[in-house]
Amino acid sequence: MENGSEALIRLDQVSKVFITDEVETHALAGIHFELKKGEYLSIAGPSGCGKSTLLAILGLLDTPSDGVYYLNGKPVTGLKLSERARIRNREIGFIFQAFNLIGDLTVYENVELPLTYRGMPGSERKRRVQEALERVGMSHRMKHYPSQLSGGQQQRVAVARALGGDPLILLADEPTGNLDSANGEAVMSLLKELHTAGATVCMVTHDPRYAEFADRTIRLFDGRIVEEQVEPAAKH
Amino acid sequence: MHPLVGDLRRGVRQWWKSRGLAALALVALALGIGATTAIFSVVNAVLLQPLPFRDADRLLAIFEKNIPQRKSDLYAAGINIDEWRRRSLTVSGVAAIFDGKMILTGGPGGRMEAEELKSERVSANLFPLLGVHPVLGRGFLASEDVPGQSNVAVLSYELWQRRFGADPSIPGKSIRLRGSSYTVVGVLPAGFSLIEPGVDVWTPLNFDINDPRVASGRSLTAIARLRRGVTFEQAVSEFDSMGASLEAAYPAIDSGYRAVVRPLAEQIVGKTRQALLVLLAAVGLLLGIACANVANLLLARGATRRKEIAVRAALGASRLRITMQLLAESVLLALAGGALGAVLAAAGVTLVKRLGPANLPHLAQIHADWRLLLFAVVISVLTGVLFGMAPALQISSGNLNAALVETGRGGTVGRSGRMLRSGLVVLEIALALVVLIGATLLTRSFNRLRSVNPGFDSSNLLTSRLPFSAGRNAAPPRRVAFLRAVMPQLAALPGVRSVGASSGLPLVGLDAGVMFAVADRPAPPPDQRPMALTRSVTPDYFRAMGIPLVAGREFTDADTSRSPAVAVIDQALARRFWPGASPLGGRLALDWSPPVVAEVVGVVGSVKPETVQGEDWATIYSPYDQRPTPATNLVIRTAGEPLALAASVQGEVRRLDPDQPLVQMQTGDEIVAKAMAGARFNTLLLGLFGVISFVLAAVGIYGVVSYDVGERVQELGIRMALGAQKSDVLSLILGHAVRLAALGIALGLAGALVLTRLMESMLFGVHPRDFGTYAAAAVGLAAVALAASYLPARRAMSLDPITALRHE
Amino acid sequence: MITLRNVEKFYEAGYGRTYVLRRINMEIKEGEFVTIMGPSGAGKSTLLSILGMLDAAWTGEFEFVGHQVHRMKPKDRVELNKKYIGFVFQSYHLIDNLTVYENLDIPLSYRNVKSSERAAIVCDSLDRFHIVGKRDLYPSQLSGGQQQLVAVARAVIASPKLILADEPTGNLHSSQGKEIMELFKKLNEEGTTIVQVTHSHDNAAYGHRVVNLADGWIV
Repeated sequence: MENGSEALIRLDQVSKVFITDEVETHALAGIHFELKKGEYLSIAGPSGCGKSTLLAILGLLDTPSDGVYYLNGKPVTGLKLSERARIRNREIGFIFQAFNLIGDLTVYENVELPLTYRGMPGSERKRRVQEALERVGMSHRMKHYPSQLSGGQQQRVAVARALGGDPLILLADEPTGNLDSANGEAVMSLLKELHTAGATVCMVTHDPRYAEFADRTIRLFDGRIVEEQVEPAAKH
Repeated sequence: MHPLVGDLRRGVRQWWKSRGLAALALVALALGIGATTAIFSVVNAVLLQPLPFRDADRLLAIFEKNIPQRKSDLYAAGINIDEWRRRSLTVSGVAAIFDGKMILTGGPGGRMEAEELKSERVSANLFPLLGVHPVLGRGFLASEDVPGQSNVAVLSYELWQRRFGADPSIPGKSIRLRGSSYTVVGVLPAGFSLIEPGVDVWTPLNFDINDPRVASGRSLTAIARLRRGVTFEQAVSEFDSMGASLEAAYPAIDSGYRAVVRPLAEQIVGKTRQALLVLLAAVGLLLGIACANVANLLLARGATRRKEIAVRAALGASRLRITMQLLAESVLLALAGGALGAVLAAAGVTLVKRLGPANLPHLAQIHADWRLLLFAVVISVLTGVLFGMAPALQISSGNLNAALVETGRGGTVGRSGRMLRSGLVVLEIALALVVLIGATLLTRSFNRLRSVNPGFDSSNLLTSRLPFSAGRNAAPPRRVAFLRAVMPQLAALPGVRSVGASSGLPLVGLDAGVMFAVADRPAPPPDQRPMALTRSVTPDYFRAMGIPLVAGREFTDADTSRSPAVAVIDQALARRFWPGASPLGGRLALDWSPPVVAEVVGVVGSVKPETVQGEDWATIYSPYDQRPTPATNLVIRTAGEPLALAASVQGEVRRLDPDQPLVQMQTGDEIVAKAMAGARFNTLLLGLFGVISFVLAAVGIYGVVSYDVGERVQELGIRMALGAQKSDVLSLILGHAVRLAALGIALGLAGALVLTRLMESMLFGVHPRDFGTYAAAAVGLAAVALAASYLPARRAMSLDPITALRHE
Repeated sequence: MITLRNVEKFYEAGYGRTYVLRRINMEIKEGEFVTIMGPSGAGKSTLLSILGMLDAAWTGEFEFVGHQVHRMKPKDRVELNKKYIGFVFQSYHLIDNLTVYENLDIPLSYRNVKSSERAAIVCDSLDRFHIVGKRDLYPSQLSGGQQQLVAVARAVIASPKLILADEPTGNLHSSQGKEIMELFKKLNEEGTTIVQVTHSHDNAAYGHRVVNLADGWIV
């Protein structure tokens, strides 16, 4: 897999320290890895190992205390808030454990939301939203509100919202965490499908069954990478 | 589509989604903005706008006072006005005014339906002195201000419109006033009003200083203009020293008298100033409550939207975008509130115009002040912007991830936001309590006022003015004859119990007075001769009015101009001059011209001459036959509804003399109500504000406790998991509310102690620190606060602990 | 101590019932240390809530130290909770605007303990868990491990017979987690019954036996 192509994501000795009055907590320490375009990476490890903090840094929701994060070849650690917002909007698609759809907006409007932040013309938005909802099989529920959907359906809408912006990378934080196993499986196969179609995916999970969907797994423990393995099941 | 348009559209939808909250905020804003604008518009027109005269701040009103008898604001004597004109170096052009009534009976086209008009005889220099120019024609010439040349009249704009069809060629035409022909020379600008409101016609004064009645009679209002470079204080001291020398020059007229000089503006608005300032303070507090309320609702809403905002940020909304969206929502709310407030303000101004006491100056000029409306809207927009954007500010702290995975660490919500909201609600309760205490004080004062006995029975009483100032009944013998003819006819009407007549009615004004002394006692020096009000009444007057006879007898038909002079006095006079003894048989020397000595034959109960809260005045009643006055009032005691008899009374008078006007028919209850109109108006408005602030405070505390519960759901879940019973939860939530209410009430009581001092002069029979009122208002507000917090507390009690624990 | 017979829990969703727990039968004896395991969404936490009397919306039979819980009124269930049970949560669930001392005092305040005694009990507990120095700090001033230590101290302060722990080490570093687990082991050896939910096989090793759940069933 070291084929020399430019890494989409590169973390260089990234660490994160939470400091309160009394104590320093090292959530991440010296994280170093690369992710290439089109890869499917899973980050695994027990609760409290730092997975979610790592994903927040990758998604520019949080900044590292130390180290450099290169996205698409450019360092993004020292950017202004507005620039970070722009990158989140254009380059990154988020999928959360708790779906995080906005309850006041319809399915259509939820998917449209990131596009409205780009000043995209209405017709273009409409096309993209419909396309994204079709890809996740939710185009028939466009006018519904999140509360009218099951958890699995909500997560499919959340995936469509992440896809609609045509991001460089999809970041998924325990996407099956709030779902039963059938719905969880469905969301995982959806991600797999997207990956096959060319999407770059980075997913956090502590469920070993789902880690196997990825090409490659990084294991975190107490804020450090303790193991990196290529999933045999993912070879095709 | 511009993103801002989208933000506004989304804003409308956001508010529609939480329309309960939006409605509360809107109502709060609209009430605050509306009430403030309406009252400020009144204050602005009455107190702050300069009088519509040239250099109005240099105009003075001059009255007289009697120092030994401690009576102030007396009319000035003609001789003094003449002397001031000649002697004063500090003022120029002293003008004089004599208030009266005139009956209009004809216009340029011939006879018109008779109407009694408020009139003023004024010196020719009045209009130039004020700098008022007639819109049509001219004012008076000095040559018209002499006897024989003075049958000219200036009309008010309103009369010109109302009775003469705004005829532009009216100058030069003649009209009939008090039975004589007057040539109209001019029409004054619309809304012209000096000290006396509602005057419709002006005629020259004919100031003849050689007439002893003009020279010594205190019947004139003086208006003067300060010379340039002279201060008000200099004028006051000059008039004081002139007073001393006039006292020496005219001891019979001026002993004990001095001039009262005050700015004209103060004379006009002085009485209403205090009440208006109190109302203004009240609406200011109301606006404060409304803003605190809106701030609270917005903060609460912001708290519930933290997660939504974080999701939006995670999806790439920049801070600017989020700020813009929240801004659009806040501004939208404030503008909608402002629009509703404008409607309320317009309605409020109309209400003030309709309900406002007739003596409120410049009533006609009041209109909703749009600049002020703008000010109130800006205040509310600022409130909205300041507090509506709180969630956007939280994003700047950069900790997006914490908001997204809020359950991740800790869980319960921090202290600062709650502190701010609690602070706002404490403020709200404090302000509401101040308004409430003010309103309760006024209401109690008004109730006291209503329970004061005015000295006569006002129910089932019909009164009407029967002016004899012009026409065929003008001569004194004709007056007596007319009354003698009409009263039996009226008494014979079905539903009439008794009929009387009097020169003056209670609660309508001091009217005529006389200096007197008790005959057969050592005569007091001229400056200490007491003064009493005088009334000429028919024999049945006391019975018809329900004024009780205390001793002696009433007048009879035998008390005529040919029989010995007799008098009935009231208890106030009896008590003062015959303390512990019977005044019957006593004799009063009355300084009429010529002087009269009358024997006291009866004592009746005192009546309130001017206002219900005012003092009793010593009063001397004479038989109408012995002293027939031109101003006469009929009083009719009826069996049923008094106004039902109005038409037949009018009919009887017409039948006897179709030209004899009968005006201003009103019931006794109406007279009492008019005398209390000012107090009623203030009580009504402040009462309304009290209720509004009560409601807003209740909404405020409901909102804050409700959102407190919302934010503490997880904490409540933890407590339940640790063994808290429902009652523990209830006391936890209510305890919070009780602490807020207690703090607010303590602050409010302190504020009220300070602010109610402003009201001292408005209160009657109630102390501004009346303990009962304070306690009642505090208890009432506390009860409402508890009731308002009980609803959310109940919701907290019914929480399912497991859902609560997972709550995000 | 605990007997569950045919306990079920479901939600009425628009398209039918969604089961969270199905036909749960289990028995836990006094002094046991039981671990419940299974993937996310398997119903572990729900089962723990039912055991802790926090969840009343279930069907079946539940016997707890001789009481027929399924026949009891909510108020009496709270009393059972108060008398016998202490809770430890994954996210600590300390109350942010109360100090460590005040957090420890909450369970006692709901249990008719005299205030002089309450002070003594809280101070004993601060000593026992070596957190005397933290008594006046707020939770946000503590590390995760310290917060969980306080949470465990709070759970046992009223001397419960049963401790229910929901992923107690989930948010902690391994060393901090180990410390908490050692503490549980000690409490168990002193006679306290413990039921924990965890993903970690290491943590499960501290207990006597494991109950596995999947999609609401015991497997």
